[in-house]
Amino acid sequence: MDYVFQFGILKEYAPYLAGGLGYTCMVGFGSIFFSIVLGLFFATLQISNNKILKIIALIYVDIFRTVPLVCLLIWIHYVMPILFNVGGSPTQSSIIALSLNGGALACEAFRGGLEAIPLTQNQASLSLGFSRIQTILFVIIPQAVYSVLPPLTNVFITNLKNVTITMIVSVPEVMFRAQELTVQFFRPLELYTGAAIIYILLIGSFSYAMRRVEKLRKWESI
Amino acid sequence: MANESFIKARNLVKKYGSTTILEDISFDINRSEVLVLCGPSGCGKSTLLRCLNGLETIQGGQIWIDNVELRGASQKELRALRQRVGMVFQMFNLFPHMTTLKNIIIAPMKLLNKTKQQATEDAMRLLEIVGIPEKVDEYPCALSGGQRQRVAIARALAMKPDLMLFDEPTSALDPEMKEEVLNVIERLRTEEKMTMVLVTHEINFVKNVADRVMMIEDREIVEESSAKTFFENPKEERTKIFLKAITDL
Repeated sequence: MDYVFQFGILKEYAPYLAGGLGYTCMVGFGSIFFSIVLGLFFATLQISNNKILKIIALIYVDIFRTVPLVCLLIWIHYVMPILFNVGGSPTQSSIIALSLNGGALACEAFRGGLEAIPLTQNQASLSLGFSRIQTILFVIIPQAVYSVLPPLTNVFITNLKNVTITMIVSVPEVMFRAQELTVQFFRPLELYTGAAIIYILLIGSFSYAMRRVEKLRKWESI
Repeated sequence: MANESFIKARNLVKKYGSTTILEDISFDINRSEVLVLCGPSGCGKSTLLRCLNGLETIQGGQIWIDNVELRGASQKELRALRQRVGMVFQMFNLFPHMTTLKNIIIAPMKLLNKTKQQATEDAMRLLEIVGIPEKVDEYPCALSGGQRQRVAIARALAMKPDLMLFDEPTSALDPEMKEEVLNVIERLRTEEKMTMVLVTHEINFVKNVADRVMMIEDREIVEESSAKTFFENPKEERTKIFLKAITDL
């Protein structure tokens, strides 16, 4: 192997790479937020008693968790403007694409969490005189929040990592900048490793924070 | 209608799909009376119990509780009724994410609009009655089975019910814990004059507390008599077989 690593380039350009973190966070956490909203909405439809609503939720989940994210992003960013004359900035398109994808994954996580609450909890709550809505608010959701956290953390991490895909529509986040610099300096190994380290630090601290949140739970299920 | 019975069931029919669970069940329960339902497992006694607070809908006949008709009642009416009918379950069904105190005060606070202070005072009094005031700040996971069941009883009592339903309250408990729970139920009878319907197989306990015993098998009431007659002088052959089976255990 006669490749000579020159990590020195990172010294000079690390600030520029890390400067992409703003976009990474905007697209990443923005799409996490909308994934939660979409996921909760469609999970509620899935556990409702209405067949049509259930089918709508199923179709949503199956479409957006099966379409490759690259295609989804290209459709939203390049095809939608042509077909329907609607479109937004690369950042906006990316948030939409990642949210649709993350929402489908989050929906499944929420459904699993809600279904994990035993039916007997429902019975106990109803027998006290609570309505169905009160039961969901006071009994089901406070328990489901915690059972849903581990799978939901996976979804959020997927969202954050998927931000790297947005370089195909030129969102100037970390990975896009690594590619940009590579074209200029022909140092792909060093630059992409640098980008990876930034992503690892970001996602690492994010999952650490989520674990701390999980630990806030003072009770155990019985 | 002071001398109307507190619970009146007439020709009650319960089906799941095309399977009939209960057929043509009629009975009366007076205020402060303790009725025990017994019968082989799967005979529908627990289902009958759940029919009495509208957790199960009935397909025929009618049930009146304190002159409220259950069949055809709106969801709102059913909720109002359930606030006055306490239920205790075999597996306790405490809310695991709430402390003992919160388990007991949440319903009075949200449904009876009690202040936290009022509800807490009531809860402490109830915890004294069930004998575990020191567990007030524990989560259910830190309680033994017997303690959980006593919290569940306190939770139901916090709504000041006129009627308590017990669905095999001791069958998931160890013998010494059964005693704790049974003592509480006995106190409810002697001190509070609570109207109660119990599904239980604790024969000695039934002999002590039950005013009447109703045996259900094959969808129908086999025998209904005073506790004394039921155990000492059963009329029906099926009752004799059942009594022999459970005393042989």
